Amino acid sequence: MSDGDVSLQFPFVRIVGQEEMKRALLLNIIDPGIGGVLLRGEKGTAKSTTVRSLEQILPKVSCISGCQFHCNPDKVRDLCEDCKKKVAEGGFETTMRNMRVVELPLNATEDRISGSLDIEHILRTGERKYEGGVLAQANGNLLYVDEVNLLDDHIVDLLLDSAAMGRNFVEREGISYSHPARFVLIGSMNPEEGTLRPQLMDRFGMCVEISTESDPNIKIEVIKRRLAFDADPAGFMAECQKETDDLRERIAKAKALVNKVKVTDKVLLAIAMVSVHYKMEGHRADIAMIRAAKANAALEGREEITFKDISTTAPLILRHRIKSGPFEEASFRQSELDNVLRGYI
Amino acid sequence: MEDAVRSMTCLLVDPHLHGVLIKGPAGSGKSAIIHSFSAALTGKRAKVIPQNITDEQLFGTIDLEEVLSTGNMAFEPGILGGDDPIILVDDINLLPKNTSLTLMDSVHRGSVHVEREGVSMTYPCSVSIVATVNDREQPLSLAVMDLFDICVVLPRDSNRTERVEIMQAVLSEGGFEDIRDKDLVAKIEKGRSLIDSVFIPDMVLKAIVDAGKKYGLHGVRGELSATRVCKASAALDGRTMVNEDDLAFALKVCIPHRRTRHSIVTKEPEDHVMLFNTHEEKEQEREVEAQVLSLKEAMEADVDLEYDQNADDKRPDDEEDEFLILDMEKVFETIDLLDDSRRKRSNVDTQLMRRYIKDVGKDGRYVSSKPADDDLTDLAIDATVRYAAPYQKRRRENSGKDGVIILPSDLRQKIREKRTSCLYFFMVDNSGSLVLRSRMRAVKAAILSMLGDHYTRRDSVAIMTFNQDFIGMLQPPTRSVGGIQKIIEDIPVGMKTPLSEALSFMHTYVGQYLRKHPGDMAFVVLMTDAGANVAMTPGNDPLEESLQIASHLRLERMECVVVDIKVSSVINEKAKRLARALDAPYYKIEDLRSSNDILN
Repeated sequence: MSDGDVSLQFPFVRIVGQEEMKRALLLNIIDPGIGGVLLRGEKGTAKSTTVRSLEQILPKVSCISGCQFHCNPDKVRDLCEDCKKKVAEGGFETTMRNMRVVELPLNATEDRISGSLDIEHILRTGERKYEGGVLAQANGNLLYVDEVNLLDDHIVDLLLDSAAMGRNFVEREGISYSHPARFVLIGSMNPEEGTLRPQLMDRFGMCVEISTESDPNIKIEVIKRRLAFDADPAGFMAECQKETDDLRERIAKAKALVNKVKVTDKVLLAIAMVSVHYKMEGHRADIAMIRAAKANAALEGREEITFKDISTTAPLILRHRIKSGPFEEASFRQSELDNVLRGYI
Repeated sequence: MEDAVRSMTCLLVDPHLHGVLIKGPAGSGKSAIIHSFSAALTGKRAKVIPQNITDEQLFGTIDLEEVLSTGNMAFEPGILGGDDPIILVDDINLLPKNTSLTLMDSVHRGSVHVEREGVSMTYPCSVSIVATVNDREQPLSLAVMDLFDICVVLPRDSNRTERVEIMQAVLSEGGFEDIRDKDLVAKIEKGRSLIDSVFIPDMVLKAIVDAGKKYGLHGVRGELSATRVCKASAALDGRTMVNEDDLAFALKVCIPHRRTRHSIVTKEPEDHVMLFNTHEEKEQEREVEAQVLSLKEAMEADVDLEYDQNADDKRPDDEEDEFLILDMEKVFETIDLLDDSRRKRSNVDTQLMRRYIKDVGKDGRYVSSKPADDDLTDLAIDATVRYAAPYQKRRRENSGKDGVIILPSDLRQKIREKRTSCLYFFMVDNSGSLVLRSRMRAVKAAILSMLGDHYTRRDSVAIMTFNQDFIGMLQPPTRSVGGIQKIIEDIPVGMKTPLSEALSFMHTYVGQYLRKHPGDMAFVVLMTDAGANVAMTPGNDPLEESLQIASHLRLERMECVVVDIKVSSVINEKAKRLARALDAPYYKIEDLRSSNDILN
């Protein structure tokens, strides 16, 4: 989608419809542990616009000053080597920073993804120094890969390895280095342009199927808002600044609340039964469903998980995983899920 | 020709319009008109992006000269960072898809983001892209097409005046300064000053959205482009109110290249009438309707309309069924004779074939580089120098030598890719369920038509058939299509449908073929109604067993499509499920107005 000024993205709160996509994204911001979102849909359905606009509503997080991986001092396990030392010695300062949407361009090369030698530093000092790449920028942020199905295989492997381990290991050009790389992976793809490797598909905690809006009145509204935005981006943004701020606030609150959301045995059992019913392999889906239900409760400002929290979020996790046998997303029915759930919660 | 000029003018009037695509057969004056437009505007020919451009040249890279001479890191923006208002991409369909997608995405976003070969950079980009495409070579990805706001189709035969104009334009090459057109420049400037105050009535928006719906547009880009073109067109004529001419023009150049349906399928919903209350508005509305209709006529002009109606109407019984098949054969034949630019696209929107493979030895297109290992065969000199550049100052100081000092660790090997050849593997269900309804003729017609369109000398064709009596190759992979026609005519028929066994056979066969031909792709066209009734393991449900197998059939370099050859008014869930299990696109045979649709 077009946008004259890069710094001014179309406002998230003015994007018409596509509620499921928006909810999936918000839940992943609230709990990155859900495991990312894959957005599958026809071209021109506001996938990129929505993801890029997330920056407006991302919460502030604390980070250790001067760290190129913006390590979060509260997450001791995920610190880089330098920050570990600093934290052990107690000599560090923290600042608050905005979480960001970091993009991986389609034609990025390996050295810029995993990072390589800092050439300027060598020129000046003669010392070898590691300069972080896209994965370093992505640490503690959202990593967005547009057209993820068109990425080269070796790039996809790099992404998968880091996403799986939460760390990026670099062994090249005389550098041996590793740093934390925990990010929310957001991919978008147009299935007409080619399929995604199954390994990568499974990596995404959630998958949203996006389709073209068919109601003409809604389409007209989309066009009108876009024209209004193009004519006066700053004014358009200002008009919905309050809504944007409110949403950012709501997300920040939900992020604080999510760890307090209680997971009762009843909820655990219900989710386990859903997994059994849909023959989920492994435990990734179970954990994602619990996390998503918690995040959804937190987003609604509750500490209890309700039927609806599971019923609305579980499809995002199940649909792309129901593959045993020939059934895929089309065989998923909300009523079937609800029936399974109803016996337990 | 006029449309092309008007489109490019609109492009310059509205900064939110980013691309014009000009389609047409070779020699229809596509590039010539762009160059002469550019000349009229700037006194120069348009800047051209050649097909063999590297991503470095296009998007930017390290400034070698600066780094080598001063030792400071410097970035050199690519062509996109220049200040030419219009950049011409000739035959954009021949650029690799990822390059053209990144290119169009960059111009839409107004910025270029580079993360390549040691450079991390974002810089603004305000160029507009005018591209030509000649579909005969290789079709343009529909995702790329969608990123072009406007698409103009040039006819094969332009009229006499236009020919003279083109010749003049071509002949004046090099002497373009003379034809700089002050009026045009003034008109564009006027348009730019007006565009923000152009008012677009709801009724026009409604008409645009309706047209989008009728032609099955995906997303909202088409409608948005049409809206912007309406405004730009009004501004160009010095108006602040959009009128029917603007609308007609916008629909004509923004909708057709994005359509996924080729005609109006549903009956008009009544609700839109409610939007217009007063008599006056109704009058206006009728005019708008008329415009939409004339657009429709323009699009339909060369296709058998009667056929559409048949296909779209309900078909209650088998008599209708039979009639449809006869008609279809005619359509396949007709379409094959049609010019590319007039081909209809059905509700099929796909770029299935990724026809590029990497690491193809020395005869591919140089796309990027990797660190050279022990067996350096194909040195990427530019990349090597680039990688060595930063260290030069230091190396010179250390060694006391002059010149560029390259060490073995700098060496880079070229990564090349090239178009692969393709095995068209037709897997034809010739079991009784199909024969009974004499559908085989349609199947044969479809195969022949697909081959007629897509077979190139490098490709090969194979035909496999399956029924109770015989599962196997009717024609093993061959490059000589001469005899194929005869073989297709003689496809034998049998009774039951052992779909699962046929799928396993295909998997083994194609797997072996691909192992033997590491550079090739296989494109499997499975033509069936999925009416499986023989299972491999006694007691299994035949269809479930087939689906189970299908869901495991995945080969690298193999892509499948399912063509449902059951003609019925009810949706054939069996074939749809089969397509899903194969992760393959699904088509109904009557959707295939032209083989272009599935083999693109």
